[in-house]
Amino acid sequence: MLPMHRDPEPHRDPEAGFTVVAILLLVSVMASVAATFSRHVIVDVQATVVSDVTQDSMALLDTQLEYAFQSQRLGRGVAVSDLDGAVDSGVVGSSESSMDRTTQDLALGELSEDGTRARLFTRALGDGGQGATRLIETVRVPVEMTTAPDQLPGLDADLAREVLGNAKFERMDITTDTTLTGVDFTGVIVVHEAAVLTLDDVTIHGTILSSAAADGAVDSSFSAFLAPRVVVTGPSRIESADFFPGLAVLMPDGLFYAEQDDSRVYVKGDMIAFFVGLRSVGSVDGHIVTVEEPYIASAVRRPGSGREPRAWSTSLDLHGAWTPQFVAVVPRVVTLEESAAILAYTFPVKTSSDPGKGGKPTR
Amino acid sequence: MHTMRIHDRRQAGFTLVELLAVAVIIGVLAMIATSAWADSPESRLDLVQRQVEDALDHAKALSRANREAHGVVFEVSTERLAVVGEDGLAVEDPLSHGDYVLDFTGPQYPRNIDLVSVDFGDTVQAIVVGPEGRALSGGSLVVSFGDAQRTLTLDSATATISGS
Repeated sequence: MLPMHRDPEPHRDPEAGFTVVAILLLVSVMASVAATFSRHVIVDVQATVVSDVTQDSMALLDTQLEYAFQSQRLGRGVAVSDLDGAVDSGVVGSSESSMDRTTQDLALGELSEDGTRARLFTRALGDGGQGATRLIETVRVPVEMTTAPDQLPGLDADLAREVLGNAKFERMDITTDTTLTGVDFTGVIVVHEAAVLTLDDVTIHGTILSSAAADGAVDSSFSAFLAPRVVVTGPSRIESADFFPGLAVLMPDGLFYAEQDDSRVYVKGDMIAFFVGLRSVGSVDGHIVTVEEPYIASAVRRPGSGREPRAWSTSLDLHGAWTPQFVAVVPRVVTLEESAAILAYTFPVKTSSDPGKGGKPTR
Repeated sequence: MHTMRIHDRRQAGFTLVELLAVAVIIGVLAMIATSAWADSPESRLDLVQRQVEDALDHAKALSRANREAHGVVFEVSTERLAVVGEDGLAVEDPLSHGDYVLDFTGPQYPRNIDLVSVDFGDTVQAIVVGPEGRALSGGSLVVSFGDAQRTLTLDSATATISGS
C-alpha cells in the first residue's frame, strides 16, 4: 500500500488576526478623531505652514535689515546705496524652505521731493502668498567715503587746547609698549607712534587718543609700522568722560584690536580709528568710523541702534563730511478709523438649510 | 525517570472568532468613550476656543503678509464669526475655499454653541489685528454650551486668546 501524500498543513499564526483587527480598530479611531477635529487639524496644519514661511520671510528681512543696520552703524553710505540697488533689482533674495518657496522683494515707496528721505517696502512671501511685509524708512544723506586717516573726524581744536593744556585733567602718555592690568584710570591716554598699549581688566573713564590726533596733525598716509595700537586682551571698559563728551577712542592713524576670546570690551562713546576689530563679545554705544572696513562680531551689541539717528560726539570736528544716517523699521499702528470697513462687515444671510438655532432676537 | 512535556496546540493562541469578539467589544467601548468625551460641554468649548484661535492666527498671518489690518468679526445674534480683510470682505477659508465664516450653531461640529457676549470696547464686536501682530484693543467674549460657560480673553499686546 502506497503511503498517502498529504500536503503539509499551512502554518497559521494565531496573532495575525489580532494584528489585523487591532490595526483596523486603531485606524477607525484615528479617522473618527480626525473627522471630528478636521477643521482645526487642517487650519492648524496650514497655520504651521504659514508660520514656517513667515519665519523664513522674517529671517530674510532680518538679514537684509541687519546688513542695512550694520552698514549704517559703520557710518558709511553703504546702507542706503545698497538698499537703492536692491530696489533697482527687484527680487533681492530667495530661499527654499521645507514647505514653500520664499522670495523677498524690495519696492520703493514714498520718496520726498528733495530725495533725502525714502520709504521702502520690503516683502518676503512664499508661494502661498503668506509671509511678511515691513516698511523701512531711511534718511538719505550725502556721506563722503573715507580713504585716508585725515578725512576721518578729528578732535575739536578749541576743546583739545582747553583739555590737553589743563593740568587738572590727568594725562598718561604711552611712548613704548605698555601693558595695563587691573587699572582704573580717569583721564586722557595718549598713545604715541609705534607704541602698543595692552589692556587687561582695565576701566578707563575718559578717552584714548593717538598723539597725532591730540596734536591735530593726522597725516593722510598710513604706516602700519608707525601706527599706534591698542590691544585688549582681557575684559575692559572705556567710557567717555565730561571733558571729551561722547568720545571714547580717537586714533585716525591707529589700530584698535579686541580679538581674543577674553577680550570683552565695553565702549561708551564714538570709536574712530584706521581699523577696529572686535571679534569677541561686548558692546559699543557710539559710532564706529574707520578707513579700513572694521570687523564687528555679531556678539558685540550696539545699544540704541535703529531707534533714532545717533548724534556724534560734540568733541569732534566732523569736517562737514559726516552726518548721521538712520535706517529703521516703521511700525504701523492700526487705528479704529482704519478698521471701519472691518467693523462694518455684514454677515451673509443664513440659508434655510443652515438654520442654526433661529428665532434668537438680535442683540 | 524521563519526563515529557506535552504541548497542546489548541492552547497555543486564540481563534480568530475569539479575537474578533474581543476587538469588537473594545471598539464599541472605545467609540462610546470617545463619543461621550466629544459630546461633553468642556470638549465642545475647547473646540470653540481652538476655532477662535485658528481664526485669529489666520488673521494675524494675513496681516503680517499684506501689511494690512485684518479682523475676526463676531455676530452674537447668529452665533457666527468671520475673518475679514481691511477692505471689509471676508477672506478665503483655507478649508472650504469659500468665505471664512464659521457658524457655531451649524450642522458641522461643534453645533449648538451659544455666543453669549462679545466685548472689545467701544461697541466693537471684532478683534482687529495689525501687521505688528498686536490687537487694536483687548476684550473678551463669552461662549456657552448648556450650563457650561467659558470666557475667552484677548491679550491686545500679543493678540492671543486665553480661556477661563
